[in-house]
This record gives sequence, structure tokens and C-alpha cells, in this order.
Amino acid sequence: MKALIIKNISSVFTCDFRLFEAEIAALSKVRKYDEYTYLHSLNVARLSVALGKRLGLTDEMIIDLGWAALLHDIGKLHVPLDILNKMKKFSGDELAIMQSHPVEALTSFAETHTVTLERLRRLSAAFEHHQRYDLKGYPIVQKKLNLHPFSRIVAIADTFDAMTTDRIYQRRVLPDVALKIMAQGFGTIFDPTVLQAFITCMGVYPVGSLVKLSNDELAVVLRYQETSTLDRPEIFLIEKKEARHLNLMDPQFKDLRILKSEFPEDHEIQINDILTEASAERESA
Amino acid sequence: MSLSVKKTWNESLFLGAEGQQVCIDLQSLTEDWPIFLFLKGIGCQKVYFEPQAKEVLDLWTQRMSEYEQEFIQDPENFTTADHFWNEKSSNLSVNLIRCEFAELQVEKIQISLGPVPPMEAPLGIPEEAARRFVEEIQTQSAKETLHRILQILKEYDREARAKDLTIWSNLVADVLCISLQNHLLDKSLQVANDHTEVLKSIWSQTDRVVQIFAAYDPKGSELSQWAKLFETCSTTDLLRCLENHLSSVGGPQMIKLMNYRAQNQAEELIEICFSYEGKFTRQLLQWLAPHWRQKHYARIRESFLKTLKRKDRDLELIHGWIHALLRSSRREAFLELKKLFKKRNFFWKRPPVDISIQKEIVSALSEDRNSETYAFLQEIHPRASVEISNRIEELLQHFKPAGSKK
Repeated sequence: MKALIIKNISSVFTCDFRLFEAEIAALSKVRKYDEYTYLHSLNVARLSVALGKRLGLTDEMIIDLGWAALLHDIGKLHVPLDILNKMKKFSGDELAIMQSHPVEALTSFAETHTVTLERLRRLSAAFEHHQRYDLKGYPIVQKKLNLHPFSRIVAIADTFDAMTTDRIYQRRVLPDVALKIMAQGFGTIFDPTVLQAFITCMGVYPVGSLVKLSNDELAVVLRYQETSTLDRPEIFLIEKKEARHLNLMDPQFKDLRILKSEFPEDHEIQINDILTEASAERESA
Repeated sequence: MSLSVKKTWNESLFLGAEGQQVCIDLQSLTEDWPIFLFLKGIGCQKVYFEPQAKEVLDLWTQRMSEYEQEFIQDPENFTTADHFWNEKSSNLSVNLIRCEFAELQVEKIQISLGPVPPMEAPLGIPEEAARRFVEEIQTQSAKETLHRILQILKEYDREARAKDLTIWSNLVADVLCISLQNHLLDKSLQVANDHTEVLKSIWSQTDRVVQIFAAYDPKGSELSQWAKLFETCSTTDLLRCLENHLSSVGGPQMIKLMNYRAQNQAEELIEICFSYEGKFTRQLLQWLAPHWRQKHYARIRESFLKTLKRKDRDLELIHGWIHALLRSSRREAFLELKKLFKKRNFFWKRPPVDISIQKEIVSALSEDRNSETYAFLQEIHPRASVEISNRIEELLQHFKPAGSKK
């Protein structure tokens, strides 16, 4: 399992894994305990690291941020599985237990780590990621402290991943809709600078989104270039025709716009297949 | 393009002409109306507004806004089934606003490690803002990190459901150690003060004890502040540390602490010395040597005689008590010690004083060179047994005051 975990982490960031044996062991525990939490943690780490790199964090900071994000939900090791995976409404007590996971992060941390200053720094995200930028979240603290920068990044990544992931009792939110909903939390739930960066880096329709155009055609968002505006990326048409790669910044397409995003499964479309097709076409062109 | 959904409500869009129900199809919505976007996001397909909905619109939008904030804050634990989406008329007979959700299908969770969107679009914030953010990370000092952690520890202490005391005390001790290693005496004191009870159990743990003592070597001016960190370390614990770890890297600091306590809390240590009967009494007697006073004499005498009566004769302890006697009141001490050199008499039925005790007395006196000792030795010399007589003679030669004829 360790090898798999290292492989997963390596797809997020690189580091000398010999220095992080305790962290790998902790993550292994999380994976054994609850697969969803593990995969979610990996996704949050990927998003956090990607944003961190765009913000200009150094390599050392990226490693710290990566581990902070990977272990941000370590406290869930102390939430009983029947609560963690509950499909129905939480009772008051159950919700309290669920919302105790930031506090319980300390228990999990102490059980799995020898304490160092660097590890303590990374622990902040596990404790703070639900506190909100305006500190009105949970856990409620007696003495309010501004959130650590890592916590501010992880909170955004955590929310985005949670919104855009299917759950048994709730369909996921489409990425572009999620970003717009999250924008309602500017300066209250999220750090406005970090949220602005996150949303704009993604573009209005994140890469990989299935979108409906104003001419009723379907397309997949391929990329944003430096010169792109946030709502006019390069796209790839679903329908097989001669020219499927379109750059919406191109003046010839000035009248064409994206209307909204769609669920790929509603159109029986596999996005990965489309992206592969797009890549193959580009190479052959 | 603005990224925040700032369109204002236009009620006329949702409140149709008299008698006319309005249906907003969220799936075909292309404008970013507040609340509607949220409803669309969580799977609402249509919202129906009855003509009289105006009276309840504010209530409904207020509630939807709250739900939206709740969803943004904790989307993982938000379920549509737990919330109230419709708004009834005042007589509760009809839904004036009704939300229609897609039928919920229970499916296997599809979570997977898909590719993360590349985030290649323009950054969208001023360079200066990004630079300041990075700087904020760079300038996070050890002090700030510890300040943050101390708050977390406090909250944990308050809120955690079932703390394992061993793990918890180890964590607190480790944080204390890191604080000391970073020369943050104030922060260290804060840890110690906030978690007094928890730290009590630490002092029997070898590794951590040595670590904590070795973490920081206080300057003279810092001693009193530094010593406060160890208030939960009882004198017995400290003596045990000295006995077991004196040669460790923390040894010098253990001595510093014991010295400090002996100088500043002598009376407390004296009380412990009198009330404690154990192997550490010997060590305590050494540390307390400069602090004995006349007022302690009676109790020292009592302890000394008690020790003499013990079957397991602890000569080192006896030695220590003799010094204590001498330090507290020399005159009375010599009178007492003289009794232990009573000349043996044929009719004397009581057994003589154990020779080993007499040896200890002489040995103690050999470290106490002065004229009074000389006089005492002269006095007891004739009564001493053969085994120690030579030794007393040696001492008398050695201690001979200048100008003395004999």
C-alpha cells in the first residue's frame, strides 16, 4: 500500500519520501479507514498544490502545502464510520461528532507523528479548514487568530472538491456552477485574494467541462491561453466534423459563446475519451 | 467578466400577472441569478411561483441565502433532503413557492482520481497581492507557529471527546520542548501554565524528561522564569532525574534547577526532607547543607536518632544527618554526638554504640575542620574504640590549631 500511496502523492508533488515516513503512514491509515476520505484528500492536495504553484510558492512551500492538504482530514480517523458514511440526515449529536474532526485532527496527529515545528505548521490546515475566513465557522475558538495561509488555500480546494464530487445522496455540482456559488463566499467564507486566484486560474468553465454553445453544439473545454478571457477558452467540438478545434478568442468566432455546462453522463459522453481524441487530432494536424 | 454573482432580483420576472403561475426552468438558465444558481447546482430543476408569492418572497429568499452559505461552508455534509425548499401560504394550505428536484438515484459513488484542471488561465489578481501572500508564508516565524498551536491545544483540551491521556501529555510535552528549542521562554511558560495537570505525568518518562531539560540552557537572569516550567516536576521526580540522568545532555540543567530550588525554596525542601523517608533523603541532605538553621535542630535530631535505630543501617544517610546537625547548631550537635561515645562500663548493660556509627561521626567531622571539632575530638578520643582511635589521632594532628602545644 505504501508504494501506491507514494505513487499517488508523486502525481501531486515531489519530495524526499524518506523524510515523510510518518506522514505516509498516517495517510495509509486514512486510506484503510475510508477510501472516500483518502481520495478526497488527494484531490484537495492536487488542487491546493496547483493553486500554490500559480501563486508563486517555492518548492519547499509546495511540499509543506501538499502535506498539509493531504492530511487536512486526518481527524476523520476519529469519526465513526457509520456517521462518516451516513446517507440520511445527521442527528444533533452526529453532526457534532462529524464537525469535531478538525479538533480530533490533533489526536490523529499525535498518534501518528513525532512532533516537529514543521509538522505543527502543517497541522494548522487540519484544524482551521472549516473555520471560515471571517472565523465564524467551526471549531468555535475562544481566541480568534487569522487563518494560516495554507488553511486558506486548503479551505477553497476542499470546498470545490466536495461540491464537484458525486455522493450517494447528492449529485455533484458542475465545476463552473461550483465556482460561481463559491464566489458568494468572497471575504466571508474564503480569502478573497486566494479565491479570486483560484476561480480565475480555472477559467469560468474549467478545462474538461462539457459545454453547450450558442449554436446548440456541444464541446469540451481544452485549455486557456495567456491571452484568453475567462469565458473564451479553446474548445473541442463533440460532433465529428472537419474543424473541431476552436479558439473562441479567434475573431471568426466572435458571435459564438458558451451558454452553460452540462453533465457528460446525461449525453453518454466520456470526457477522457474526448480529450484523447482532441490530443490525437492536434498531433496529426 | 465579473466573477461574483451580483445580479439583483427583479421580482417582476418571478411574479407573473394576476392568476398566472411562473415557472423558472433552472436547467435552461443561462443567466447567473443569485440563489437560482445555487438551487441549480444542488439539483433543483424548476421553481414555481404562484401569483401571491410576493408576500412570502422575502422569507423564502432569506432562507435560500442561508442555505447557500451553509452549503458553501460545508458542502460535504449538506443534503437537500434535510432542508425546506418550499414556502407555504400563511394558512399553510398551499405552496406559494415550490422547488422541484430531480428524482434522487442512489448510485455507487464515482469518486476517482481524475485530472485536476490545469489552472492555466490568467491569474486574475495583482502580482503584488500574490507576492504578499507568498511573503506571509515566508515570514511565518516559529513564534507565530507556536502561538497558533497553543490556541489549538487549548481548544483541543476543551473540546476533544475522549483524550488518551498518554498521547495528550506526550503531545503537550513535545510542544513544550519545541518551544524551548526555539528559545521561546514565554511561549514555553504558556504551555506549562495552560496544561499543568497534563504535564505532571511526564516526569517519569525518561526520553521526554531528558529532552525537556536539554532543550534550553537558561542564562542567570532567566533562571526564575525557566524554573517555573518545572513546577509540576516534584522534588522527588527531580531527584530521580538527577539519579538516573545526571550524565545525559540534560544533566547540567537538572543541577541548575535543583540548585535554584535549594536556594529559593529551601524551607519547602526541608519539609520534604523531614517528611519523606526514602532513598532521596541522602541527596536532599546534600543540597540542603548550606540552609540548615538553629530552628531545624530539634527535627534534625529526631530524624537522626530515628535513622540510628533502623535495622538497615544507612551509613550515608547518617553521615548526612550528622552534617545537618552540625550546620544547624554546632554546640547542641556536639553534646548529642558525645553521647554516642560513652565509655564502656563493666556494669553497662546496654550494648555499646555500633562502631560503624562512631566511624561515620568521625568521618563527618573530618570534613568539618575547625577548633570546636578539634576540642570535640580531643574529648572523645579517650573513649573511642581501638578501631577508630588511630583515625581520631590523625585528625587531631591534622586539625591542630596553630600555636597549640598539644
